[in-house]
Amino acid sequence: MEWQTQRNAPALGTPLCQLHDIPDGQGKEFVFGSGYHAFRMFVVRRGAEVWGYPNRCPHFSIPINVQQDRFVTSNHSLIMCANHTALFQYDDGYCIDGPCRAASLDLVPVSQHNGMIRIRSASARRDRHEIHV
Amino acid sequence: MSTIRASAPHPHTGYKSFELGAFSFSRDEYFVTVSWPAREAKLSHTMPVDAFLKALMRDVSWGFFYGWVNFDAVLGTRNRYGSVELYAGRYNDGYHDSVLDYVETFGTPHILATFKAVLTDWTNAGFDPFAAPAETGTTVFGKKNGDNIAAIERNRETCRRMPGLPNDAALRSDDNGYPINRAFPDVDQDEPEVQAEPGFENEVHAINLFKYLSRSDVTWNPSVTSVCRNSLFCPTTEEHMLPIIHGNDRVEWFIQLSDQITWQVGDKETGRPRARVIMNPGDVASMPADIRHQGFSPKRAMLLVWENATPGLPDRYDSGELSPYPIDL
Repeated sequence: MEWQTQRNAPALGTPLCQLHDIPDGQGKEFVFGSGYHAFRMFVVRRGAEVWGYPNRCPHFSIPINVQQDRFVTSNHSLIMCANHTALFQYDDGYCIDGPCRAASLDLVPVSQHNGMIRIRSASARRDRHEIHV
Repeated sequence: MSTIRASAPHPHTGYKSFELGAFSFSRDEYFVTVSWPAREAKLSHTMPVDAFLKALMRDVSWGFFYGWVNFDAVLGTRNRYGSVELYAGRYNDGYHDSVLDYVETFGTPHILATFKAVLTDWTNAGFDPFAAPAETGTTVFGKKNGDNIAAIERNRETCRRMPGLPNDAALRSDDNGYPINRAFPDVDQDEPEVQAEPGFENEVHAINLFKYLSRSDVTWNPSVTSVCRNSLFCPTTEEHMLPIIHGNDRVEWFIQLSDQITWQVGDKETGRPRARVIMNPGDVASMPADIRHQGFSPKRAMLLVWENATPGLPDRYDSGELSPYPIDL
């Protein structure tokens, strides 16, 4: 299901937070709405670059994190589903290892300008490439 | 990149030995030996290699699962959801009270990569650690003899919402490699007939769960057959014994669908016996969040495991916010 069609999905341009609200290399969750139909997404940051994804693992369709705002491996090299250790690349959400290898997180396009992170309009996904942990 | 510390193949057996932190792992033709530092010395523990590989297989394929995966009364892992504790004797009173236990924490990708390397090197051709003893060979014993990559790269079968839906897991059939298991030749294979009201044709879906389970090719490896937010139905077929002793970090519900499973239930911290639960078809049991359990199934049985994947549950149980029991009797 496309993220835009989900109930409570944020509108384009919605501000999320300041860049410095996300420690470099780590992630932060954003929740729109409440209860059963809340829209949950997270943003990961590397330097000045940011990427957004719905907080839903393609493996079990359950949230990626178990602890608040903990979305990445301890060395901050990959997004990791804490439930069953699926490992995803920051920049395209591609799963390079784990129980849903070769699946991808859906993309929620975000941008950072003058230190403010916002939802932005969709653009082409980057080319996939292999990296190793 | 994770560095896997492995030796050259042993000149006699052909198997590599591995080190992970201060732990070391080696195997011979029948046994696995795990060593760890204790009281300025090195302590060792020995397990049959088939039991070790079956436990290791579950730990790897389940991504360290919920909470504690005890390989036996001494060795196991605790999932910290981002890191993993590998322990020896920590949840065994004899070792722990004598200060002979040891725990070391690893980044999840690092321990996973090492465990996969052990599994790959030590699993011989013809042995499937996911299979029931009567359904696989005895080539696990003896000197190194090939490998079985296809078997050990199996994962828990999952679905996004429910098998059979568009863009979701396929229903099982002879055509896609899921023949009926030898234990279930009498299971009805008809799919349910759905008569939807006009306008609702694409909103109603049903499957024959017994048919789906009768075609499971493994044992003690739940599939996911429905996902409703954080509620997961994980039915499975079980034969022989659960190769791990699972220590819960949340409440799990078990619903016995066929045949019989006996559960040995103990205290999560110490392993002291707490209950023996014999489940027959239709029985429902709640496994509390403060126990460890191991199941024994003399004949292949169908079991529905209902899991709660709500984020943050372990912390809420640890803090006492949630009772380990779903109700007070």
